[in-house]
Order: sequence, then C-alpha cells, then structure tokens
Amino acid sequence: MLQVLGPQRPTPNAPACLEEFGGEGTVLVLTAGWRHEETDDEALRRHLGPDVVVLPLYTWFEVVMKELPELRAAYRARQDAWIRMRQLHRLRLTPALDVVRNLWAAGTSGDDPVMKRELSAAMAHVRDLDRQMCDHVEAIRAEHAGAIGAQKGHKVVSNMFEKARKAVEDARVVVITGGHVAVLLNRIRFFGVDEALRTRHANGGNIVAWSAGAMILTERVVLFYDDPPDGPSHPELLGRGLGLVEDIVMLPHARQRLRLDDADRVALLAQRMGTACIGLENGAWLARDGQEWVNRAEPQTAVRLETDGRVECLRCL
Amino acid sequence: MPTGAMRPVHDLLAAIEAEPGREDELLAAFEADHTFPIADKNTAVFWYRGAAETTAVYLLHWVFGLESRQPFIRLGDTTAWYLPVELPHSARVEYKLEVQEGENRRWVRDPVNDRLALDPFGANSVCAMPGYREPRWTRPEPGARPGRTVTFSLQSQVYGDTRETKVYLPHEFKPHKRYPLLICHDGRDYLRFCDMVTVLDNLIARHEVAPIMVAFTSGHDRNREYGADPRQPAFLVDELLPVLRERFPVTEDRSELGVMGASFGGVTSLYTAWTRPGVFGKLLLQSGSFVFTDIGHHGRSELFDPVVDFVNDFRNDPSRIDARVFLSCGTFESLIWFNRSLKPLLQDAGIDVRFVEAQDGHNWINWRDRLRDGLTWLYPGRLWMYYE
Repeated sequence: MLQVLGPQRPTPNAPACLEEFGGEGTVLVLTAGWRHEETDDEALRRHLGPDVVVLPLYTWFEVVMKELPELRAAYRARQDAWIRMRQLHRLRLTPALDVVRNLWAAGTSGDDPVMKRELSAAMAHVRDLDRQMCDHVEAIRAEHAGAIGAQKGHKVVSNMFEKARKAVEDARVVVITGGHVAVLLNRIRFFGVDEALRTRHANGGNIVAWSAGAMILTERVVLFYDDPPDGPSHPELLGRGLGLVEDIVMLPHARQRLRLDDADRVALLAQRMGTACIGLENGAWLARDGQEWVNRAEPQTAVRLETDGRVECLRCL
Repeated sequence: MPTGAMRPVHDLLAAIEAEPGREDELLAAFEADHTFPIADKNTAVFWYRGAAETTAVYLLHWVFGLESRQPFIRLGDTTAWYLPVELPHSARVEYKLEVQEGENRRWVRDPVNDRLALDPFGANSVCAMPGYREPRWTRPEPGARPGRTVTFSLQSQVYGDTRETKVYLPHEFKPHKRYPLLICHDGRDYLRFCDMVTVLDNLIARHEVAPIMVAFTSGHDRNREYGADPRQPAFLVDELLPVLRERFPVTEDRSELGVMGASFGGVTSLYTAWTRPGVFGKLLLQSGSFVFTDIGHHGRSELFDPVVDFVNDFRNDPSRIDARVFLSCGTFESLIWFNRSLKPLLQDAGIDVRFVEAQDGHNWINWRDRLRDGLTWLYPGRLWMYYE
C-alpha cells in the first residue's frame, strides 16, 4: 500500500499515517536525501517511534567510493557525462519553451486552426525534448553500466546489496523521506533498493514517502523552482523515477516553489507534462485506494495544476 | 490641494489656523496618528518638532544627486517643521537632522522615527519608502540550523602586528570534507552590521548558497591598508591563506576561493585579484571605490591617490583578473558611475560578471541586502535538488 505525504514541516503527519500500520517489525527509513545528516535519526525516532531503523545508503556509498577507487572513477565519469548532457539539453529546451510562450503571447484564440496547429506542434516539441531528456539519462546510464557494474561485484558492495534487500523485505513499513532528490534516487538505485521496493510494492507491502521521497516514486521526476535567486526559471526533467506511481508528477512545496498565481506558467507545466501535476503541501496525505488516489487530509493540502492554468484543491484523483 | 503624503500636513496647518488655541493639542495628536517620515508612493515628508528657539532645521543625507543639506519649512507660526522630498518607490535613505538654535547647530537622529541603521560611526535614522522590503533572510529563520565561528590570531610579518580572524563554519561542517572559502574584508563590520552569520545560516539552510566557510578579517588602519596597498595582498595570500589551509579543510579548487569587501574593501579585493592572479576565483565587490580619471586630478582625498592609480592601471589591463565577479552599488552613491562602467569593461575582457543596483546609499544595510544576490551568484546552492 502506497501513502504519499506532503512536506513534514512545520507539522508532521507521518506519525498519524504510520499508526495505521500496526504489527511487528522495523520502520525502515531511507534518508539518503539528507546526505551527511542521514543518520541523524533523533527526530525520526521522536515522531515515528522506537522501531525506526535508518538504512544508511548515503554512508555506505561514501565507504564504497573511498574503498574502491576504480568504481569512484567510473561513477565520476558517469556524473560528468550527465552534467554535460544537462547543460546541452538546456540549450535546446529553453528556446523551445520560449516558442510556446511567444505563440501564446501572439494570441491563443481556440478557434484559430492555424494558431492551434502551430501551438500543438510547439508543445509536442517540448514534450519530445522532455522524453529525450529521460532517454538520454538512461543512455548514459547504459554506456557506463559496464564499468560501474563490474565494480559492484566487489564483496563490500554485494554485502550491502544483500543487507539492503533483506531490510526492505523484512520491514513492517518502508519510509522514504525528502532531501536531495537526485542523491536519494541515485543511492536507492546504486544499492538495488529500487528493485526491492518494486517487489515490496507488487506484494502489497507498505511504503510511505514524502517530498523528494514522493517525487521518486513516480515515472518522471521534475525539478522545479520558478523564482531562484538568479531569476525566473522553468522546470526540468531529472529523469525517470522508480515508476511505482503512474501518471502523476509530484510537486512538493508547490505554493512556495511555483508561481501558482501565474496561469500561463501553471498551464504550461500541466500541458507539458500531459499528466496529473499534483502540488503537495504540509499536511497532504494521498492514499491509494484501488485505482484512485484519495486525499485523506484537508483538500487544500494538495492541489492539481490544470491545463487551463487553474489550480484546484484535490480530494481525489 | 496637496495630495498623498503632504495632505495630512496641509490639513494640520488648516486645523491650527482655524483653532490657534489648540496648536499643542493638534500637533500632539498629529504626531500620535502618523509614523514618520510620512511616505506615499514617491514622496517622503520629514517632520521635526522644535523648540521656540529653533531657527532652522536641515535634512542631512548622502543621496548623490540631491542637495545633501536641505532646509525644512516651518509649519505656519508653530514650532513644527516639515520637508517633502521626492524619492523613488523602493528607496531606502539614511539621514540625520541638523537643528539650529541661535548660533548653535547640532546633528541629531530623527526623534519621531525609531528606525535606525547602525554603522561604525554610530547610527542614522532610516527612511524606507513603501516599496522597500527588508529581506526575510536577514533575520533568523525557523529551521535554519546555525553554523559556528572559530577565532584565531595570526602574527603578521607584513603588518608587524597580530590580527584576528573569525571563520564561519556551516552547520553541516565535517572536518574530513573540503569546503569553498570566501575571505571577507571589514569582517567585524560585516558580522555586526550585516548580520552575516544569520544571513549565511539562512541562505545555506535554504540551499540557495552552497555550504561555504567564510574568513572574516579586519584591518587596523583600513583606509590605508585597503587603498590599493601592496601589503594587503601579501597579507592575504602569503600569510592568512596558508594558515587557513592549515587549520581548515579549504578546497583545492581555486575557482571556489573568493574574496569580498565593500567600499575600500572592494578596492583591495579587486587589487588582490589583479596583483595576484591565479589565487582567487570569485570576487564579491560592493560599492567599490573604483574611482578613476581620464584626465586631471580625481578631486577626492589623498587616500584615493593610490586607488586611482590602481584603477587606472586596472582599466588598461582588466584581463589579468581570472575570476567570476559580482558587483553591486547603490544608485544614491557617487560611486555608481564608476561601478556601472566596470561591468562592460569586465565583460569585454571575457569575465563572467553580474551587476546589481539598488535604490540605496553607501551603507551597511545596502551591502547586507545585496548579499543574497552576490552569494547565490558566486556560490550557488543545490536549491533545485532539495525537496524536504
């Protein structure tokens, strides 16, 4: 059973959520997104109880990188390739988004078939670029899989793999916290926890995730912040997520990070993603009920970005 | 009929003229009903209630382009004085009043305005126009985990004395990690008047700025030491930096080493980068006193002689700078023209530069308010990646 929560500050609702999962066993928490503070679990224990066990993926990764220089070099090369690819991709994405905005500015009468066709093509191009972004991330992963995979056979790493798999399998509930979304996703994949989570999900095991943790459960992870200090920007794809949640893009802290009062920006993001864009605020609690997601908290804690630029409170999806 | 900020003053005068016997009562009620200066979109009305012997009141400010000593107008035959001044909507102006009583003149802070700005010389009153907003990140923010500071002393051969440096370490500081380093001139003043520890705590906690170490150093005779004096680059590069490397985990990456300062602190930062190329990869220069001459004398004090010589040399060969540069300056400063002209000069030399102007003067609050622009430009955090 999947439960998706909003950011836990200032008022955490993870304790109320976890109360629903009684029984024996550990509450296994993946806090790799907290990076150096991964094992600072005092607040987690205070809120989630004494059964909390942190799976220290970030710490393990640091150990592995220190002990296996060949792996470190292979990993670094892959990171460099991704960074370069993102820079180049941005050069293509920015003008493509400008084209859509310019066409909107030129007039968006729904009855004008000429404009409609051009707009549709421009938006399709943006979506295509987003698809390519995900494909190219995977292509680079594949190109470096050999070098990295060969090193993963080392005993140090394989022991960690097995420990992680068993911990995920045995836990009463697995909790994935927020933090640095790329680091979180990366460490989960590195130690094969992605596969363990998929198995757990397929078997109906309980998984609770919030903020960055919620983002990585989906098929596509979108990075977003409309007003960074160096001026307005546009959302970008990080790449594919774990795919446990289909047809949703999760946007934690949407009110803080997105200009939800700017209908054009909202519409552009919603149309571009072509799937449900859900903003999650503190207090949100989305639970999967059959094929439907239900917001078990106050409706205003979660919002849906509509393709016409409206922002609607979410009761169910 | 006056409108906006002048309307209440006009109404008050009319009321006093109608009921002269209630002058004191009406003046007291007026002062109780308003905050001063009274501001509308583009006008601030300054106010002073004098004594019977007050013969003149002047507004003293440092807004380049406006007369720096402006006389107040007496309100009818009363002891009250006022002065409307046109100011931009987002302006922030520091000022004092000069009160003349017979032969005596004295400078005072505005007695009906509690808003003050501290600086090394004391404090000034502040007029903040409606468009000015104090940035949230200048005050402690909930959830911002505090860094800490470590202080050490260094015996300087260059200066022949002992100098104290305070080093800010971010909350996440781990001795086995390496961190970018920014050396800050006038460190004591940046800590005191810009609340720089709070600013760093907040911006790092927001992930807007990367976790960095900041070394706060202060001069003993800063107007000389920071005025393009070769001793300062020698102190920074040959004495302070090696000790910082020895005591703290400073990055090996030169591009992550920075130096910053305001006014003459900006001059010595640029001077250091120019005379010691290849050491610092980032410059944060606030209201730098980059005075130059095309012909003739600079017309400022003799402290500027070496500064002008340096800036003239620098302008002939800016490409010796090998750093990313952030520049800021207030539009109310006489230095705005020199700073504005620096941007295209640096850009033409292929230097990555960002320039920010603000409707403020040559003061510490202006420099504090621009820190987010500068620090995020030079040491951007992973804001895009964090969803907590």
